[in-house]
Amino acid sequence: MLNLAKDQPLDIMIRKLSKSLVTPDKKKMRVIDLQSVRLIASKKKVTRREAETFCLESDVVPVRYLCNIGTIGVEGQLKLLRSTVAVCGAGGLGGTIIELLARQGIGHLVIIDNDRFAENNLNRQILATESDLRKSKVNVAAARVKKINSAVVISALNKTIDSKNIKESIIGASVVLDGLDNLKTRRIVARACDELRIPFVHGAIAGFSGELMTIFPGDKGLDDIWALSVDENGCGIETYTGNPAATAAVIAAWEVQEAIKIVTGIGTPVRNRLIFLDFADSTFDEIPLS
Amino acid sequence: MGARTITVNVDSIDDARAYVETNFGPVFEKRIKSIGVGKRQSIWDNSNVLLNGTNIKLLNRIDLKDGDKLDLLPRVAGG
Repeated sequence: MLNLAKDQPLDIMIRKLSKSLVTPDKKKMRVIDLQSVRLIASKKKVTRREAETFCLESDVVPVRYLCNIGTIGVEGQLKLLRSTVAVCGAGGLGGTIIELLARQGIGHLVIIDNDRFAENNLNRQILATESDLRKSKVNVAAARVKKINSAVVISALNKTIDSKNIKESIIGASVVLDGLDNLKTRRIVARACDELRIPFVHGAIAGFSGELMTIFPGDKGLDDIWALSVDENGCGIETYTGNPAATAAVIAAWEVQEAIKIVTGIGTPVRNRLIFLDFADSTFDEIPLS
Repeated sequence: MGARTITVNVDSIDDARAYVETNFGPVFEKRIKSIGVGKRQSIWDNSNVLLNGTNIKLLNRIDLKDGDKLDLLPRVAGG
């Protein structure tokens, strides 16, 4: 029986509860399981996010992140856990984004949406289930994240994004992700991100097509591509094509990759260029923005 | 649309538009109709048209020169 008195030093407690493991590439690593992280949080009266952070700082990897470490390292996982990521929209793109970010181990998720699930969301919105119809998207998203990863702190903001409230919603975020379904709101968010000096990952879909780009402050952005006047909403061909499930999933997944790269500093984000995917013709185009 | 990259000789942006509408408009129209849209649609008007990476609407004057690249990107805004 382990001695786990609550006054025991944290590092000793972590050491006692963790186990040694040899990875397939023969590296030695100390890991700690979910039950032990919960125990530490409970004994030390800290949040699960803090408990996981303490573990990683002690070079002990929560088992749930074991398969992340080869790609982003312990340092990268710590950066994710300490970060705040905002997701605007919790529908087709946003739902998958939220699911993946929670699994990846983002420490704080800000989720903004004013909508409720409707029946025509069921084809593609991963958070939408028959039993959740008419429920608030952000509340369903928050419940889902809690089920996936209870270490994630969630700010579920049930509100309509406008130019007056967006900054207070996303301030402090390391990156903001686009789960929106119209260009008007995207431009509001992109402008706020630019002013707050936060990178904005844009994604949009229509039928078999999808596009993506990451806009850092001062970069070329949505206005350079769409060139709309102030009042124009900018509907796309999704008006005709609708939005099938797989297109949303692919673009959402790529948005998450961008967020991970930005937070960890690993890799190269898609900057000053637009990626355009056409799954009908199986084509991939990269358009440099001058 | 049957062609991803083509090289054409045109003198003006209006000529470019006419070329696109003539050569690719019918294919676009057919695709649009195949998904149940009855109203006539222009391929040009349903695209963001970028000249060397800048939307042509942002350009005060368009003088095409050899080697210019025109991208027609279907407007996608859904989520």
